[in-house]
Amino acid sequence: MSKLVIKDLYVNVDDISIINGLNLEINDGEVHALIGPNGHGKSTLLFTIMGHPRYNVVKGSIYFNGQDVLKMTVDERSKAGMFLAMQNPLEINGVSTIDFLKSALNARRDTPISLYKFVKEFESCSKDVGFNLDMSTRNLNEGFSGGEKKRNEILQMKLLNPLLSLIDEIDSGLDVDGLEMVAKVINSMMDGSFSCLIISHYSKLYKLIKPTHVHIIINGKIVTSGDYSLIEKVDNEGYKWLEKEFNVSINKQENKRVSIGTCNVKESVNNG
Amino acid sequence: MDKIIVSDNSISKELTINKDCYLLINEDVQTKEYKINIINCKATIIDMSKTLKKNLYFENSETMVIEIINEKESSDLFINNVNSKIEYNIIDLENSNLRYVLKEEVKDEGSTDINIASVGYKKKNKEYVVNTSNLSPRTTNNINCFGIVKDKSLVKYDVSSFIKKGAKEAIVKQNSNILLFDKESCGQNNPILLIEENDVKANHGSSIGKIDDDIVFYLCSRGLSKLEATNLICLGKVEYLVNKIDDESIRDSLINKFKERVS
Repeated sequence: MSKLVIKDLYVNVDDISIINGLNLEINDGEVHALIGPNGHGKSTLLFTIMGHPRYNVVKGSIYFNGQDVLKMTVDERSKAGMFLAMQNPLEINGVSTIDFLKSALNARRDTPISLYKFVKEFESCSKDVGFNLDMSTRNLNEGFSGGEKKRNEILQMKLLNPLLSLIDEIDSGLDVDGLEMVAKVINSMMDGSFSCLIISHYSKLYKLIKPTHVHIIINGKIVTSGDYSLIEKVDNEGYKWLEKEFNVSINKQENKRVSIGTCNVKESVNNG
Repeated sequence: MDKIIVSDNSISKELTINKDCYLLINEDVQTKEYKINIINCKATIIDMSKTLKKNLYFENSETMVIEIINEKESSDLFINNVNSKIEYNIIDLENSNLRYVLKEEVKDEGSTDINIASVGYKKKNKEYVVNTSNLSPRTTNNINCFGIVKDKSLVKYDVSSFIKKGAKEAIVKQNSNILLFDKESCGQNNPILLIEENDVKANHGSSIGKIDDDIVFYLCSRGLSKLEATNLICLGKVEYLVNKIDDESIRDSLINKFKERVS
């Protein structure tokens, strides 16, 4: 049975269309790589799947294990087994990392986890991802370096043990050892029921994880899919060849110039 | 360390403490006015009284005070800090209107931290007027105000800090943050810095607004419901004050009360 099925998806952000008729299926045990030029809808897709309120689905459907994802709240999606590792995890003042992780674990359990079990699990996962235990009492992501934030995301993924991970540019800001750690954690989670969708601009991470499927997204639509060889082709040749072969334009339209009118109403100059 | 529990109105006399102690002023204390002098010692004071007017004098001391607002609509506090290290914390979860006037003077290299956490709910107005004065060189005032407002209520912080001419290297930091839960509620921050001396460090920061959607999304994406996420964010801002209290039963009752107010 397909785990994640996205059909004919159209998504707007602030009334600007970003995803335009996207179709995708991810089955158990598959690792999908999503590549494409900047600003063509990769992160938008992940945020839409997870249910960020800013991303407005205008058409299409998303099903996860037979459940209509678009009817679920963000926490319901998480409890159903989805996880989003963010490119820029937020700094949250006043919420300690360890309290947050405990709340997140308890949110998906009927009875609260015992302190002993939690500490044991937390310590073991922290060791695996190279997360400094001293940082667990600090505010969530506050003052963390780029790499530490990413390690924290992977730590959360490992602790929450999702069925589907959506991983957004986890390799930016991460050192070489960190990258290998991410690959190791993901590979260790591949037990048959786990699957993931990974966004990255660099082939290094993909070399370590070896995706089973590769998709190229242009202007909010998957223009071609293939196997690992597609990553090597893009790595060597870039994205230009797609323009001819699939008759798409990679250079996005220039942003419409905006003027602030006399009564502070935004007006599009191009639209008159 | 001696433990002194005041549970009657004997505190109406002037109380002088000159050895290290833990002072608990019970909620039964209803005296209208009291004065406490803390001299040459370390002290922790938990104040749950209904007293309306307080005068605190500190000299060469190190003291932490936690005042838990209890069934009163006005409060008047004067802090006189002479070469002492003072931390004054106010936790206000009461379902009543309140106008709190706090005046503070610091001399002889003393430093005072003032932390206020207030919840305005069920159409109540909470108004805090904080006036601090750095009167000598190398004195410090650090004022942190945090508010949560819901159900057509108001939380207002008027914080005014004065640095006297000659108070070289004085430091003043003001920070006020208010979270609004609905459109009908109101938060007001009025920070004022009155500085006569050139060689000082003084700043203020202020924010009023609803909880960032991105932060709520981040927490929800880990399985917390919107309510749990909001509670966690708000609790964090108040918990650090509550955790300063040693007594577990007081701590738990405050946390439970806070969760009740916010949810």
